[in-house]
Amino acid sequence: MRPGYAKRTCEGLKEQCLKIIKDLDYTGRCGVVVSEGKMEKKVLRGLLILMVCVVLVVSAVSVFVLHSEDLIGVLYGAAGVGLFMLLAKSLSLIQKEGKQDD
Amino acid sequence: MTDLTIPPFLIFFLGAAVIPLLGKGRVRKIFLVALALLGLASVRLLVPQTGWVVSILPGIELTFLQVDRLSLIMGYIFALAGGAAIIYAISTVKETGQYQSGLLYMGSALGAVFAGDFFTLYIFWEIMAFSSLGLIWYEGSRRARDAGMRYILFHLFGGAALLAGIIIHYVNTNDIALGPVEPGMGYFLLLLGIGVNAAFIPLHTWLPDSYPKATIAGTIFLSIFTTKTGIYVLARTFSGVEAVAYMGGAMVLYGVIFAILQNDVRKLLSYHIVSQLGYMVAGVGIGTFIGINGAIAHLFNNLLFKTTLFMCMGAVIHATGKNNLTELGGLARKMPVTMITCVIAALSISGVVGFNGYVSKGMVIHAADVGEMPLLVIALTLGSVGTLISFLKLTYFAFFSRNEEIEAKEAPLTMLVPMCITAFLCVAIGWFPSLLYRLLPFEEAAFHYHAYEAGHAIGVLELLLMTVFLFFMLGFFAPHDKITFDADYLYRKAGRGFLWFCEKPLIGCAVAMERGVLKIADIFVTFGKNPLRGIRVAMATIGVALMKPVIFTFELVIEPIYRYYERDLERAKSQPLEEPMTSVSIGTAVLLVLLFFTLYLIVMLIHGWLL
Repeated sequence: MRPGYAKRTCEGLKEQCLKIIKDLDYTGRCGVVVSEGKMEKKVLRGLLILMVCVVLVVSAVSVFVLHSEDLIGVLYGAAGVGLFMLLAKSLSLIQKEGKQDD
Repeated sequence: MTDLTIPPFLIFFLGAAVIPLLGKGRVRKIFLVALALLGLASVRLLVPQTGWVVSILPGIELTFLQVDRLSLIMGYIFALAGGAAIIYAISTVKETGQYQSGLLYMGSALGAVFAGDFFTLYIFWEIMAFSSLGLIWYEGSRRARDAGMRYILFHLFGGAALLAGIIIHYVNTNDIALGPVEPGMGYFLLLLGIGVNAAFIPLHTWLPDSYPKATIAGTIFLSIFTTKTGIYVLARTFSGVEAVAYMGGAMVLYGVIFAILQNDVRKLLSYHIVSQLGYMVAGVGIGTFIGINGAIAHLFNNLLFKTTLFMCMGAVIHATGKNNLTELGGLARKMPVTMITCVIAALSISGVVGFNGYVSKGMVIHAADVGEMPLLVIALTLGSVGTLISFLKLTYFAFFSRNEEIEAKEAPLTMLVPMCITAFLCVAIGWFPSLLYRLLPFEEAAFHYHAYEAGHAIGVLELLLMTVFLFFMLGFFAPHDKITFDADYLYRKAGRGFLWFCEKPLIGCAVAMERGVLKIADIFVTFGKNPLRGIRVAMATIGVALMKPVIFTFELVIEPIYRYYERDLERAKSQPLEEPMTSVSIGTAVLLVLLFFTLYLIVMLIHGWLL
């Protein structure tokens, strides 16, 4: 093994990790994203959505068909997030720029 | 044996009186720490009893110290959280007046929870309102001054409703003891007065309006006492009222959705006060042993995690000078202790398994479930989802999101110590809920509740994991600069309408009335100066007024009489005021006076007024 190889590998890995974290930033708008990264991100996002859908379907079947309460928390979580997204979107109609006291 | 029990409010009132004498140096700091510890010790020494009874009127006695399990747990948490707030304030507060406001506020809140009757409660209720106003006004800005005015207007309205309710209740029952109230007008007014302090929807707007505008330490004091005293009095007077329970459900959802939309960190936390109060109001409304226990347990826990959160955000504002999530970020490495305590408090308020919020929230939801209120169960459970969303938003965008430009350093030790103590208690109660159960009003019922029952714990974990996952996956809840109108927008519109009504129609009416009264006064003055002329003018005016309508019908007969009165009126008016009056002799005058007295006597005899 050439001297400094391990160090360079670690630095390379660190750079890759930082890039992935940057690409997966919360809003998805902050980082400079290369096209390859964008593609990976889209695939990852698609997979995540698919996974959530599967979990929701399994939970719904468990609660509403099998009348088991084992996965009811999942449904509550999803329903809650959906409800608050809907309410936030509705309330955005009466939002404005500025301070409350204006 | 002599009873040496001192009502805790006296300690803080005396502290507020003494503090201006201590200067602004080390002595004041030591005094404040000692006062915080003394306050806690004074509550710890209390045992269930009734004392300090003062008779003010026959049949009316004010009870300044009534201790039972409910008031005792309130006293513990007020002394503990208030003590933490006092120590925290040492780093940020310089003005002696602000300390006085804080100590009077804390003392009056303790006075209210140990009050044995409605009148004593009312006295402390009003002291609380006015002393807390100082904590808002000391911020010094115009925004704070205006918010303070709105705050005190709301509380004066609530106080007036409370007093009216108390008086009606006293007149109906001849009893002023603090307890359940009979339905009627007094019941409604009491509920209204308490509802202002407990932030019922839509009476809540003073809270998110004023708390973010108070001083950094002032916000922490404010978050501890006013609303919790409201919940305590609600538990004393309106437990088991179903409408109150559903009001709690509405408060949970309303507070959460508005919290999610906020950008100002203290405003976000203020809306969360409304939301968390909803759990307490729901527990009180359910009214069963487990419901009341849940409400009081959540009050206790809420004071721990909410005080921690306000202290953490106060430290962030102190360090960065920024209030808004859009301007914050990247503080995790710069303020690690603040970040850790904030995350602990956020996990606690979100009801994550292993933290104190999980225990008390679960208790209230369980009470609603047992009480067969499915809608309330759904509202309270969805409220947990919203709470987690808003605290993921708060912690992520304050501490973990990227912000290279922000400059900050860790908060001073006097800020960190109380934060760490309250955060530690959040974890301790989460792991050992029996510590809390022992203090609850219905101890035996509390021990029948099993917080860590497997099905419940797994259900909560599923809910929380799903929420976290969707939060990060959807990226929908990022902060923005926009503001969302609350019900106070309507109040402000109505207020402006009221001011217009006062300035235009009401003032116009007052001016017209003033003119009328002056005219009448003018007539009397004129009449007094020359009564004969006055009588002549009056008779001619009446004659003209009577003749005028019929002059055209009976022209031949009436017109000459009308013309006579008209001429006479003109002549009388043209007569100078100072013209010498016709004089009568003294004998005639005495006769007239005697005649008047005889008539007066006859009238008196007829009506039997002399008998």
